[in-house]
Amino acid sequence: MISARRLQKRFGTLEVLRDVSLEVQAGEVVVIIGPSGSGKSTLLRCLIGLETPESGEVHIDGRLFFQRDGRERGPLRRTAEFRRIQRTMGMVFQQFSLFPHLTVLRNVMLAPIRALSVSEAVARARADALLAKVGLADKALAYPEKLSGGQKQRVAIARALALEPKIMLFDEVTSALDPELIHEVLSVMRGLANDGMTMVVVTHEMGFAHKVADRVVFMDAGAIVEEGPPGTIFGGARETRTRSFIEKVLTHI
Amino acid sequence: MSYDWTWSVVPRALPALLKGLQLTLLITVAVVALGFLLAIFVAAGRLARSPFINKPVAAYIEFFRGTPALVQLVWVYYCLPIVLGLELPSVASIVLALTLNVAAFYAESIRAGIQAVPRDQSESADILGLSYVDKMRFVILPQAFRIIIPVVLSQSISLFKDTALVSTLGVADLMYQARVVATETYRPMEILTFAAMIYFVLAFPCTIATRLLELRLARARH
Repeated sequence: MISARRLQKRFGTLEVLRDVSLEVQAGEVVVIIGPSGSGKSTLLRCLIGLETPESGEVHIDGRLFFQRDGRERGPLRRTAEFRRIQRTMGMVFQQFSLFPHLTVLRNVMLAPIRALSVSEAVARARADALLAKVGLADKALAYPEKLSGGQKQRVAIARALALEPKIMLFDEVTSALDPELIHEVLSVMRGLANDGMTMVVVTHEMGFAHKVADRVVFMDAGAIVEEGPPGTIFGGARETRTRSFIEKVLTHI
Repeated sequence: MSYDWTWSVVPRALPALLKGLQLTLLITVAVVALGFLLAIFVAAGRLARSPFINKPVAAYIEFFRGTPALVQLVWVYYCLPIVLGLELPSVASIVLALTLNVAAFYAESIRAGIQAVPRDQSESADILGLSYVDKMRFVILPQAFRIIIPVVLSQSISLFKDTALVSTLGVADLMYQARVVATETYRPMEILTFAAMIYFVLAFPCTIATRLLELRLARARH
C-alpha cells in the first residue's frame, strides 16, 4: 500500500532522514516510535507530500507518487495526479488544525464537496455518519473553539475520513491532549484499525503501540533502527538503543 | 489676551463646508473602494513565487509607502500629465494618486493577514485535496480577513483625514472650502476649528467602532 525507498531529507545541515525505507501492507497498522527529533514526523510528511525529500521514491497504492535521484520524476506538486494520490491518504496532526471559522459539520463537508464534487446532500449524510462514528453527532453545529482537545481531534479524524482515504497517517495526535482525553481518541483509532484501515501512527503511547500495532518501527537520529511485532520490540528488542528508549519511556512513571 | 470667539459665522459658512464635505466623502469612498480592489491584486502579486512579479510589486509598495502622500499627489497632478501628454480632470488625478498610495498600505495589510494564518491551515487544505483557489477562498482568506478588517478600517479612517491634502491642489474639499470661507469672513479661528470638529465627529465614532469590532473578532478567534 505504501512503499517508501531510500528517503533522504535534510533541513539545512541537519540530516533528518538518512536512507529510510518503509513498506506498509494493505490493512496493516504500523506504529513508529522513537525520541523527539528522530525524523518520525518528517517521514510521515514525506509520505503524504508535505515535504519533498532530496532523494528516494514513494509509491502509494501501486502508483508512483514521488521519485528523485538527481532529477525529479513522478507527478509534480500541484498537478491533478499529485493531488489524486495525495487524497488516497488522510492525515491528522498533533495540533488538530481544524478550520476555526467553520462549524464541525462544515469542516467535515468542505473537502468532499470541493475536492470530490460530491453533492451537498451526500456530503451531509456522509459527514453525519462520520461524526456519529467518532461520537460527536451532537456537536455538528458547534465551532471548533467550543470543543475539548479530544473532541477536536476526533473531528479532525472524521474530516480526514470524509475523503474515504485508503491510508491514514497520525502524527502524535494525542501529544497535545490532557491525559484524561487521550483514550477517547485512541479508541477511535483502534476502531479504525479493527475496520481494516491501513495506518501509520507516530505516537508516544506505548500501550497503543503494544495492543494495536501489527508492527512497531523504532527510529533514532533519522534512521530506522529496528522493526518487528510489538511483542518482540517491547519484549526483547535486539538493539540496545531500542531497549534503552523503551525502558526510559515505560519507567518514567 | 483672550480671543473673542464669534461662532455666529458658522451657520453662514455651513452650506459651503457641507458642499466641501460631500466631495471629501466622495473621494474617500472612491479611493477606499478602488484602493482595496487594487490591493487584492497587489497582495497576490507580492506573494507570487516568480521574482518577475513579486519584485516589481514590492518596489511599487515600498515606493508609495516611502514617499510623502503630498509629494505623490503633486507629482500625479502636475508631472504625470506632462509625462503622459494627457490632461486628467483634477478629481480624477487626485483619486488616482490616493488610490495608488492607499493600495500600497492595504496590500501590505492583506499580505500580513494571509501570512498570519497558521501554516497548518494551508497544509490541512492541501492534504484534503483542495485546489489553490479553493484553499484561498474557503480556508485562508476568510481567516485572513478577520485579521485584516480592523487594520484596513483604521487605514481608511486615516485616509479620510489625509484627503485634506488635496485642498492644496485647488480641489474643493472640506479643507479647501474652510480656507476659502475663513478668508472671506475674516474668521479663520472659528471656521478652521469648526472644520476640524467636522472631521473629528465623523472619524471618531468610526475609530470606536473599529476598536469594538477588533475586540469582537479577537474573541471570535480561538
